[in-house]
Amino acid sequence: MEESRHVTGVGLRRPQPKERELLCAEAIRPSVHEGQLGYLLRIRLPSYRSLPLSCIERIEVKIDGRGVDPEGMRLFLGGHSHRLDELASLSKIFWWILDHADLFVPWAEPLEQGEHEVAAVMVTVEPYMTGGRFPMYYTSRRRLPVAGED
Amino acid sequence: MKTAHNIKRSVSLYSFQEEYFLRKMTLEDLIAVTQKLDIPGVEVIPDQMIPGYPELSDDFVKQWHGWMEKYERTPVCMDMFLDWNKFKGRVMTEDERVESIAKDIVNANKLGCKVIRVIHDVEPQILERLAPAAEKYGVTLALEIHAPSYYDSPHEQRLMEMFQRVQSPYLGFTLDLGVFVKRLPRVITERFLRDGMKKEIVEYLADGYEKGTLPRSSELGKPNTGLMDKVLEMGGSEEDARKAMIGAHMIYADPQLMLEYLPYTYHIHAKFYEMLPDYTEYSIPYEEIVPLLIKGGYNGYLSSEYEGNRWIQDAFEVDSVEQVRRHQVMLKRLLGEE
Repeated sequence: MEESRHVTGVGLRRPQPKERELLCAEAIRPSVHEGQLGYLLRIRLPSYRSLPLSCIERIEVKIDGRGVDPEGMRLFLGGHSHRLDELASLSKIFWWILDHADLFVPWAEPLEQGEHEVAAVMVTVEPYMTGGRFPMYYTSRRRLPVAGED
Repeated sequence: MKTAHNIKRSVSLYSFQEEYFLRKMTLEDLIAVTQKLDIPGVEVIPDQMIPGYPELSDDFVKQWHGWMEKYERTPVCMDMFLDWNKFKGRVMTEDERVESIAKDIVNANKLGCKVIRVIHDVEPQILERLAPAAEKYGVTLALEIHAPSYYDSPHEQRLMEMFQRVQSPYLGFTLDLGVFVKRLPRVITERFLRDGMKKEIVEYLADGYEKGTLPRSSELGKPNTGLMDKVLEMGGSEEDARKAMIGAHMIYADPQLMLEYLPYTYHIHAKFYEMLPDYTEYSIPYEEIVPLLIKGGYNGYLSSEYEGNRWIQDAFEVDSVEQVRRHQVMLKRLLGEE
């Protein structure tokens, strides 16, 4: 069967390995930023090369289906905190692909103990492409437990 | 059979990106593996594996050379990117482009690399302006010819005019052997199926590719709308159409044409998608290509570049080390090293 030798259907569909995703497996950690109650989510840059922060177009988060206000969100990377609307100007700060970042999400009422459905999207641009700001979409969804307060 | 040639072997550490990203292997582990696999040369993408790049700390440089000495390897090539679109609202100016690459030249020299793989779209006038710096630091700027472009594509021809006029041994090409994909990699067609693409469409893509009947796009960066339309017409989704365009974004160029341009070629990415257990590559006819490189007097490195990882990682554990091992066994055989 010459014509079908390319197409053998080898390999069963298995779940995407979660270690590659934007959202890491770490628990949701309660936190306070500038007097605002919220939580920290651990994230990675799921790209094959490091990118300047100016190449992050957008980050969106939902917890249990409810959206988080991007105004109050902060990206913590290498000991610094950045507002999302500042990222566009940070062309000299690179996010190295093995480094974690923490995302602070403002959330006034405490989350119940146990697992929560967290969904996140990050849009980046591939800056070397000359045809325009070519967007890459990294979507991630995990059930994450809430860490106990320490 | 011993054949007279001066082609050397290396590996791009990019090949091991899956194990690296998943933190199964560190940069030092990867360099140690190149020794274990008897690969003399090392190529690196600094944005990928050097924290803090484009800044290079003295400590890192010292450690890098320490590893090269410890594992008895040679740094060969550094792969740069020009982040043309990193500023929101504007592209880099010509001076900024020159400045960015000038920094890469200094960095490549610090890492001991004699060649920089220059990303495809960099214009001839930028490279020409950088020729003196390249010469000063002993680093050749080798722009990567990558499918669907080839030596005879418009951008490459403009570069050739400049190379012939300037006559600098520090300016030339890197060739990615992905320009010789004779049939679509099986890892790609299998992935299409796993992602739910209709079997008829996958067969259309695989057979049409091999027969050369698929709609084509002529130059890197130009979307292949003809192919996308055809996939939609066959009942594929928008997602299928986009995947087909990315997956079938390949060419099988005329290998003979390479002979004329090898004197301007300083580095080769020996791209591969799937090394079979019998030490042959599923989609790229290395048995035809390597003898031509010898015949054409190519005397740089053949650098293994594994790119099957991204197509199988959804369903399989990627074993880049085994894939590179097989690829190097094949290269040794074709280079008459055994």
